[in-house]
Amino acid sequence: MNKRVIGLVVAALLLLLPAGRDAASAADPVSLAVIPDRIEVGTFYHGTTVRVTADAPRCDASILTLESEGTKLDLNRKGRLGPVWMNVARVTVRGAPAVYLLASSENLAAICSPQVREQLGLGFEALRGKVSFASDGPLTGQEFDEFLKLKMRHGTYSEHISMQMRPTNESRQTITASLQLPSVMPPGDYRLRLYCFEDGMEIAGGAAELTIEKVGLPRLEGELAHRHPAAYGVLAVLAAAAAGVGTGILFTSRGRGGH
Amino acid sequence: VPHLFLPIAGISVNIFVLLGLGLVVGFLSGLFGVGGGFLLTPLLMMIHVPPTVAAASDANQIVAASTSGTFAHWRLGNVDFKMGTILVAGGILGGTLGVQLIKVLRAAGNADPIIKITYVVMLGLVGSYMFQESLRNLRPQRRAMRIKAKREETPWFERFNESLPFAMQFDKSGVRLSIFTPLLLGTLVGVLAAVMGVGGGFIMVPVMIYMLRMPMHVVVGTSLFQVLCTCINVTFMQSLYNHTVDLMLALLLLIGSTAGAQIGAQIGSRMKADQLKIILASIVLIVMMNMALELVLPPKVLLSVHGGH
Repeated sequence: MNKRVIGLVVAALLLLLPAGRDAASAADPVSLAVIPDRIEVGTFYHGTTVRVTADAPRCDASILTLESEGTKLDLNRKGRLGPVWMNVARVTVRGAPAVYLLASSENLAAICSPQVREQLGLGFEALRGKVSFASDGPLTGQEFDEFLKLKMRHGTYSEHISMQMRPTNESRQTITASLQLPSVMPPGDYRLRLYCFEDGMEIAGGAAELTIEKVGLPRLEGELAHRHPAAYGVLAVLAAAAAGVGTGILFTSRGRGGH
Repeated sequence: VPHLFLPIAGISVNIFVLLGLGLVVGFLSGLFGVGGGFLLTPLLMMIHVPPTVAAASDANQIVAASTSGTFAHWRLGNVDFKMGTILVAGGILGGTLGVQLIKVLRAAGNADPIIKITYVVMLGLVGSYMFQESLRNLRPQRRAMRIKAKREETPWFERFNESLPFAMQFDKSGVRLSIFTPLLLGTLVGVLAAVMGVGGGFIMVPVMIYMLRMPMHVVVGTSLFQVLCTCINVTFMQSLYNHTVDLMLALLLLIGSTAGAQIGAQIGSRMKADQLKIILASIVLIVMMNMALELVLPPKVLLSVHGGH
């Protein structure tokens, strides 16, 4: 009886141990630390850098994404009207995240196949299938590429090879990445996901949240403008008029004006 | 370099860039009596301020610059409030008609091309006419002949004015006109201003000079008064209905622009009218050419956020 129990335990241990790092699976724990995980948009906010550190199983490559929920976005499409370029149609974009930042340890094509990237929604090409376009004019087929150009110009979509992986022992490693957040990122909740790849397959992953919120004067002004627009309008006019009169008095009292 | 987060625009901007932009535009405002909206809105868009926020906040800062400018010109005795009030009344009427016109054009899907082409044509006409006329007047040998010829001719507009009832004396401007003349011109400028989305100062100034025959120094002060009234209305309406006025942005711009307006008014009072006109004409033509190029050159990105130009 005792021999049978010992045999089963040894067999179970052998099953759990095979080939060290190959034992890692998608269920392997990945602890993800985001610093800072709450960003305050104050008066002098100018975008920020978020540092992500992960303790993960050893793997070949890794990818980190930061994205917001997919939303509806209305855009204008320019086209030639005679000799001039004009807004010729309204284009509605659905399913595209407002922000999509990606960092990887190497080229996405070298990490995994297009099918895996599409399945996991990794990279711009994978987004192509998720985003839909509707227009009051005919669609040209170039909408996604132009949409990507627009978002990249704003800094809200990016792909960078900037992740670093450093082994800590036989089976674990530390993964680090820095994401540059532009000041145009709207307040809200964002999701960060880390993917670890071995031989083109995801073997582990982790997720974390990031919150951006307005504080201080920007928050106060935003709330006043949206909740009390009439009072805000009067305040804007009075502030401007007072500044104008004040400067006028300042200049004329210096003896440079008047008869 | 210190940056400031603009809560309504949702972006961060270098403080010195905003102060500098305000100073330059305020200087032009004080010098020529124009609001500067036709110049500042495209400049703000160039530093990534959303177009709707740029236009609305620009109107807010123009309130400050034109208050400062009107105050300076009032102290110099250069504001014809009587003429200004009639022009403002016409401008409000024209603005209301213009907004309705835009609605009709938008429904037909032709608003954007018409707005942009109107902009280029108006800037081109106004700029070219002012430039040519001022250049001719600056040549001393021809100036005397032109003044003599001008006195002898009776333009169609003067004959039209004489045919209208309710003639009124405008002492400050030194002209006698039917009340309907400034009211009608104010309405036409109001329509154009609403269609083009600007205060209308750069159209109003030539109208006062060439049609109402007002002296240049009174034109600048009176135009600033008219621009002030228009922009108070625009600021309030934009705050109320569109929530697009960024007070932080406007305050930074107005620090520069109010100072610039004072400097402009002082320098302007020491310059010859034709010198002022030729500089304004050059600026108007440069903006017009820039807009014309934007219209014909292929854009780098074919999509833009809805709500812009």
